[in-house]
Amino acid sequence: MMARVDCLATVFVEDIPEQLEDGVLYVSRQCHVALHNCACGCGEEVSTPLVATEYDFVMEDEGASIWPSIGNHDFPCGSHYIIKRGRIHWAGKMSREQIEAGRAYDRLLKRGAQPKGLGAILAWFKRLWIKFIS
Amino acid sequence: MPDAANFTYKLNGRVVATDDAIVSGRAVRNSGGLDPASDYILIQIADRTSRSIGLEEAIDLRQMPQPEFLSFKGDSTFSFTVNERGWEWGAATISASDIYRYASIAEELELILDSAGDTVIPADGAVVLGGHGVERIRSREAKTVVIKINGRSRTIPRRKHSYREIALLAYPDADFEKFKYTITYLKGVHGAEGDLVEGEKIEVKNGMVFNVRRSDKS
Repeated sequence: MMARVDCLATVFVEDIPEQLEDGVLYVSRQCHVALHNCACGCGEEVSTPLVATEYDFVMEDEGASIWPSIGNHDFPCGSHYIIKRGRIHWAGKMSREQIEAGRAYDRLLKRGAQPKGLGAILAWFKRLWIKFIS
Repeated sequence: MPDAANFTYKLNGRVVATDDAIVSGRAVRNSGGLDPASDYILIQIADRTSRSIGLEEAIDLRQMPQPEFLSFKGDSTFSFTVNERGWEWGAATISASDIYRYASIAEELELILDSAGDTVIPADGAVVLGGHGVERIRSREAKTVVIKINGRSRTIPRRKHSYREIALLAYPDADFEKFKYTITYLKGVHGAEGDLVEGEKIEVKNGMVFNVRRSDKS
């Protein structure tokens, strides 16, 4: 136990089990998510939502790839790695600047750039519409 | 002589065409290759009710727009009610999905079993009809919904849920001082999808998909 793994076996499931096994990448297409235990063996569960603004998942004969990298900076282990064709490619710990740059990009993807001009007016109507239907 | 009219009915989901306006229960069984016909119970689904059709019983296909029949191997029928309408069935159990479908119950409603103190029948469950007395099934506005969160099913109250409540479902020990939880959702009310941030609340519905990813807060 508590062993670092260098590859992940991919298992497709409808529901993700409550307890995950180390070395297994659980993928639920129905739930648009993949989960695995941190590859360093620390036991932390890593959730990679498979939606446009989060992670991309590709399954090939050799194994699964997930992009972008898994950066568990908040876990005590601080692991940072890439899952490519079922293998773990260990990456260096990211600097604070790299982490922040990644997050800023993430926020931009999710909320979009600040709308201007016509875009702002359209966005206002969209908000009004969402408010109206909900 | 008038032209022979072409009538159709459904048997176990398959469309059967016939030139006869009036068919016997035996003929319907035979059209599905059920042999011997007497080994099968035939159930006709009507407007939010169902009844068993005897072998020699005549069915007038002109009187109904879309006659639908189901067959069951066996010789017993089971009675129950759905929203106070009488039903007959050819098996000792009926799945909740069949009740929703044949009784035309909207999917957002929940089914409850009257005889068991208003027990909720899970959408993927079934009702045993073979017990004592007639089971009484009702549909009502659901008080809870089942959502998926990080790929796991969770039953939660039907109301608006906050960012923090959703994060706590995924991480029961969530620490909002130390961590940030990125919440995305799909298949929401009116097909809503997007992300949920601190300070926001969202209406939930059955089958809604939430995913929560944890990252640190700096």
